[in-house]
Amino acid sequence: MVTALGDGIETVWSRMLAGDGGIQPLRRCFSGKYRTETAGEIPPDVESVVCPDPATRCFDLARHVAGRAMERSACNPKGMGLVLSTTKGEITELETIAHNGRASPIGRFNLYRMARDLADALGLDGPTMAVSNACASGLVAVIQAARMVRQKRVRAMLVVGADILSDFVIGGFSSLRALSCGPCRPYDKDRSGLSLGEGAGALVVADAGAFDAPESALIRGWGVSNDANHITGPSRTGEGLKKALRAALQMSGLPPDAIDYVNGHGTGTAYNDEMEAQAFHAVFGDAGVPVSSMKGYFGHTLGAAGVIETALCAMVLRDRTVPASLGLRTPGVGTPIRILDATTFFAPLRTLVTVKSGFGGVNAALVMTRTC
Amino acid sequence: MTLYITEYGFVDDVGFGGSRKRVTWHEAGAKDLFKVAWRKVSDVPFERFGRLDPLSKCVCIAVEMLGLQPAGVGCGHDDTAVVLGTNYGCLDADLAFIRSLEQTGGGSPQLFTYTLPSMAIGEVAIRHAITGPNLCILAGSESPLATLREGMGMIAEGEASRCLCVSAEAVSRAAAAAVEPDDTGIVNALALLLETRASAAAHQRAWTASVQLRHEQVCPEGSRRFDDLRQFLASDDGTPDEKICLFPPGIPAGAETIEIRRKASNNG
Repeated sequence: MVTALGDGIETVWSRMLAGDGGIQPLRRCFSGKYRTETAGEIPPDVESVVCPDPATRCFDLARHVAGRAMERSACNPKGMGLVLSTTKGEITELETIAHNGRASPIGRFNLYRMARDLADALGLDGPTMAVSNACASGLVAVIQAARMVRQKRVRAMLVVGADILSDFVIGGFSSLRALSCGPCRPYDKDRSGLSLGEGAGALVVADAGAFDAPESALIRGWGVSNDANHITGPSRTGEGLKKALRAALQMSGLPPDAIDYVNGHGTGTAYNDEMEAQAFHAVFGDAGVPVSSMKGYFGHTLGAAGVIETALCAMVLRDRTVPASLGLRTPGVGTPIRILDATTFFAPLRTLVTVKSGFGGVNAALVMTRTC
Repeated sequence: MTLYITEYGFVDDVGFGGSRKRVTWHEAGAKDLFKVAWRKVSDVPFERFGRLDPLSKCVCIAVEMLGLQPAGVGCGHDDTAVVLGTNYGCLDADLAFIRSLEQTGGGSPQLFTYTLPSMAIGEVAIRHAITGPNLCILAGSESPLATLREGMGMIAEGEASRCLCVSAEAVSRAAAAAVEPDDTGIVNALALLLETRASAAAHQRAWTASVQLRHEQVCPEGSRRFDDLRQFLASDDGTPDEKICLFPPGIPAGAETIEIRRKASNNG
């Protein structure tokens, strides 16, 4: 993976455990007048090596992490499929169309074209698609891959999530008044919005037993739902997220008290974090299951978030260590939940659930367990 | 597992319709999708319709033709999934938002909201109180077939007992000219209500066609053209028990076949 904390999952993970934050004053120049001056940008030393060409920045990022995931998994690409998760893909191409009235010959403004080019570059010849379910895209893509593998429609799927910062994205969230001036503070009393990030992540979903790497994890169950409530705002009562969580638990065959950690979406906006707290409390009760968000480390990476954070959840299981909710000073959600303000080793940590929600009312939840 | 298509709705460059009615754009008092007023589509009000982007409008009209209950009327469709497939997504909204950014320096929040193709799912979910699983996929020209295959997958997995499988493209002439030089605009949608037999019975819906996934080569002459399915469903003089076969995307031809069979005249 690549995030504001660097290149490679071990690098990102070790910096998270050290409490480093990658949300910094914007380095690149964006043209508009926006309501923030910070974001989780890819570090310049990584950018210069991995994605130096602005015209193909998103694809190059995705290609980089996808290639690394294939190397680490040592999977045969023949017969493998690919799901690309992204909200806007190669967004500079859209800007080219708007300015010149013509698309570039590369054509990766089309998300499927980007997915197809990735699959071709890696020699994957199975089913290929892009998933674009707003900020839940990444987790919905992992679930889609798991669904296809479980139904034996394909032997293995490569899931790639990628999104980059642009005037489009910063301007959009700024216009919605959703951005925090400084680094976001998920679940904090003084949270004031989200911090955008950029990055890419890739992981391989295959039949249980296909891998014995320590960072592999077992997908036990999933749930996806819709609030059917508001087009941009989350349900005030968390009904949709409760439904997704309960569906994931039911599929996993596990009771709520089997969950040792909840990886929240935790964007740092007032309504999202409050909605999540209500859902977590309703589903997990007063047991005090630890909750944290990863957004404070590298920002909200949009379509990449679900893939990056699912991969990092596998590291949580491997090391039995839950990263603190960076930015938290005083818990500030109205419903009592146990938000971690310090990175913590939990010896019995075996099972977790990760959740993501997004515009359009979508919610997704995935239950994961240690493989050994 | 046998599933059933109980309703369908469509939008194209001529108009919109389904099993209950067919209306041309001319009859609707509009030149095309981009100009139509909701009151010409349905008697049930939809105040937000004028604010939607073209893709969401197209999807909402096709789904309206299925005759689902609007939210607040009857029970919520708690066990209904929605799968949307599209190739171009919300290209018009994307370009409109970029222009608004350049004109105002800040961008329009209203336009930004509809720069995600899955917003169309959100609009359908709100209008019809559908709280089941969602999936928005972009699979190129095979996106329509992918919606049917993924809807079948969700029902098979037990995630839903019925699924709205919607494929849609709504690209204006201007936007289409930028991405496909020979194109003059693309407007089409097909919405299918795919259900288990129990779900169809519970909702008191008769079925139009059965849908079955076959793993043998039942139809070597199968098609990858989803439009064939629309013509099959909309045919006024279709033969009972007639079938068509579709090949799902990304699978070698014949390895999997979706067999769709029209209802025989004497079955239930």
